Amino acid sequence: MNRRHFLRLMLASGIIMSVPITGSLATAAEPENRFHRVSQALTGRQQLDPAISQRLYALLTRQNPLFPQRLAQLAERLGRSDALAPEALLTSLSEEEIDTALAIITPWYLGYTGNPATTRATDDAHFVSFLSALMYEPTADVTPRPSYSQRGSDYWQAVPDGVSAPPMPANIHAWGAASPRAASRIAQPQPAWLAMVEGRARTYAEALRLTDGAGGRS
Amino acid sequence: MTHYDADVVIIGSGALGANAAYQLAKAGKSVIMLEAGPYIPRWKVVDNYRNSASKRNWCAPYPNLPWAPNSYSDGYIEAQGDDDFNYVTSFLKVAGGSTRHWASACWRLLPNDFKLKSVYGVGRDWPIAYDDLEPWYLRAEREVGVVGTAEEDQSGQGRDAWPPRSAPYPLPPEAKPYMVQRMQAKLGPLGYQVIHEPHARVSRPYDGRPACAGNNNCEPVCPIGAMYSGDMHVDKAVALGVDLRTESVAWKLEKGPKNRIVAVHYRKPDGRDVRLSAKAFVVAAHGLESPKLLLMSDVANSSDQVGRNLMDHTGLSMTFLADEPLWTGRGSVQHGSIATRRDEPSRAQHSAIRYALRNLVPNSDVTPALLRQGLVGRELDAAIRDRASRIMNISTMSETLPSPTNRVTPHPTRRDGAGLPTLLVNYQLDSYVRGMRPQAYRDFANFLMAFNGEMVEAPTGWRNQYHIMGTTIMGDDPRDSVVDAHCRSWDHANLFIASTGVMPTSATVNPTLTGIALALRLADTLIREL
Repeated sequence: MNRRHFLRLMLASGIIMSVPITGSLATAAEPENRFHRVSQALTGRQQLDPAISQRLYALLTRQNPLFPQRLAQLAERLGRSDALAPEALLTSLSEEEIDTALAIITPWYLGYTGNPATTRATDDAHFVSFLSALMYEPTADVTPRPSYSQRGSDYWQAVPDGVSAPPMPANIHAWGAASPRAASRIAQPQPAWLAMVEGRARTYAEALRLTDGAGGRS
Repeated sequence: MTHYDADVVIIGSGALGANAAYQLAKAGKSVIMLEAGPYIPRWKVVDNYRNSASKRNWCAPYPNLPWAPNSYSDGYIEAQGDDDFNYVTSFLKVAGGSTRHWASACWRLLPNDFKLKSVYGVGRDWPIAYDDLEPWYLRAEREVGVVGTAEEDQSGQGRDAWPPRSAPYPLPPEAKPYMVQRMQAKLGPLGYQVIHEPHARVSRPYDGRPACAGNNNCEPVCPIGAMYSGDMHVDKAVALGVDLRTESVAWKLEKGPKNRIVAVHYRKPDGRDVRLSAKAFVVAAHGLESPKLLLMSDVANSSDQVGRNLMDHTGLSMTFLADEPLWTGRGSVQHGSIATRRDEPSRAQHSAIRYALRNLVPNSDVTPALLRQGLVGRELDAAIRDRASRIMNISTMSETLPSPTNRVTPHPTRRDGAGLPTLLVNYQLDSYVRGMRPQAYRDFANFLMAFNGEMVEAPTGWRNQYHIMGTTIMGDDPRDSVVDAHCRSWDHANLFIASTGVMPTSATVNPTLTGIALALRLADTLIREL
């Protein structure tokens, strides 16, 4: 993680200002309590489950015996934010303190530590949480946390909340004979889009340069 | 009079073996069904899933035991092949088999898929035609509860309903997700017809199962049992008296007089070996494991084709961000398909293609990269929502041809926890499947343009679809095939193979329904003969 980049993002996010982390944070005697408060500060959330907090603290400590020490250091730094403007606070963080912050934020969002394997039986991943994984919160009104249905059969046909659907043919929701028929001919693709598919260009702008601007948009 | 332990011993309790067992038991036959793995109830798999750190690992919530390793067990499959492709497949060893973690697409093959050689001049023909199998397709659809519409051209050629059906699907289609509506609205004008994908996630209560509620958790387990899985027929078979023996690893078929199979030997976890005799034997142990057992036993292989002709739907996959919210993840893990390239004249030159639309809740896919970028707080939350709403994955199911050099064999040196050989796979992609790449690229480019897409992962690498076919190939000539049109070994009159491994063509559709139809037909043959 690039330190300058992280600091800029932290500042932009405003999370340091949104959660009161002064006072008790720096002085919290119990490491678990300290971890919980630092987690609240770094995720910008007061409502974190203390049981998950304890499990995650134990995991991170087991994985890195230096973690309690690094946590104390970070907590002390963050705890001084009443004395410093947020910008000053953040720019005072060291690379190591940023790594520690990310080591805390990441499993709160993903619900695991380590790197889960998709096609091997063994990996270094450890369970932290499922339903409480913070990555599900931003979409909770639209998609289910897998294995828990939101609304029963066929809810998925409706236009999702917050989406204004572009105009579509009548009966677009139908399967079978009533469903709209496709055009009878398949169009030749535009060279710029082909260049991206072939891996020759990473972005549309790059693809346009590569193909002398041959890339109509839909 | 000879004493037999059972009329029929079935080796393997997956969807194919269990369906055969159920039919045989209904007809009053005594059946013993062997299963290498244990029986694990659905609730326990769901519990394991919820407590697992590796939620995209579809074997993780299932048992993985020294005597019943699965495809992901360390070192169990050694694969050799091309530099640009890593052969990976995915299967379980558990009562109910690998349909415990499938997504349940239930396509029929097309009539042309049965005669690839005579229509397109490549690959092989089946010794039977579509019409021969049609009655059993219908029975298979009723057994597993298939949802579909009989009003669409599943061959993608813009004609009326195809392939022909003797009766409608047992269940009507589910609702069409908003994402699929958007795909159809944007890709239809470019010439791509989005059609319904038949599947076994029941749309209405059926056979004691509740209707699908869109948990988006088909893989690795449907938490409510709306989606069919092989354990449902294991339970039905056991209720009719089938003797299910779990943690019983078949390792040898014993030959007797007149080339008949007289016994199967299986091993228990404690190392004890048991011998079972029967009038007939059905090997239904998975497309890689069944040929391994035949080769270890030195049976059924006078053609030297056992384990050869391994096929998959090895293809390409593209992930992009659309310029509008599509919101994959509402409903099941897949709905709809693009079959336009499924049966075109170009099959004479290169692989046919069917496009699959992925519909997973994508949060666990998009979030790690955002965290690595250092996003935090409200910005991170907003980025997760934005990416999750716009991400889309489309992949190809590409047809591969049977090639004798693509094969599975018992590993010459490695052994599993039961002291039995592990798997060695040799698999290379030939010019037929590689030759579809330019066509797929043109289609992918149109898909990308339709949504002014931002590329997340270009479709430049090959991946398997975990559909195993060809390894115990069916034919009309004993010199170049393993089983006849009835799935009976050419070499042993009382040995049958219930496996997608008997399929001589791979086509571009998930093979399980075809496998179940063949298993039901095989059971009828046995009922007639025993």
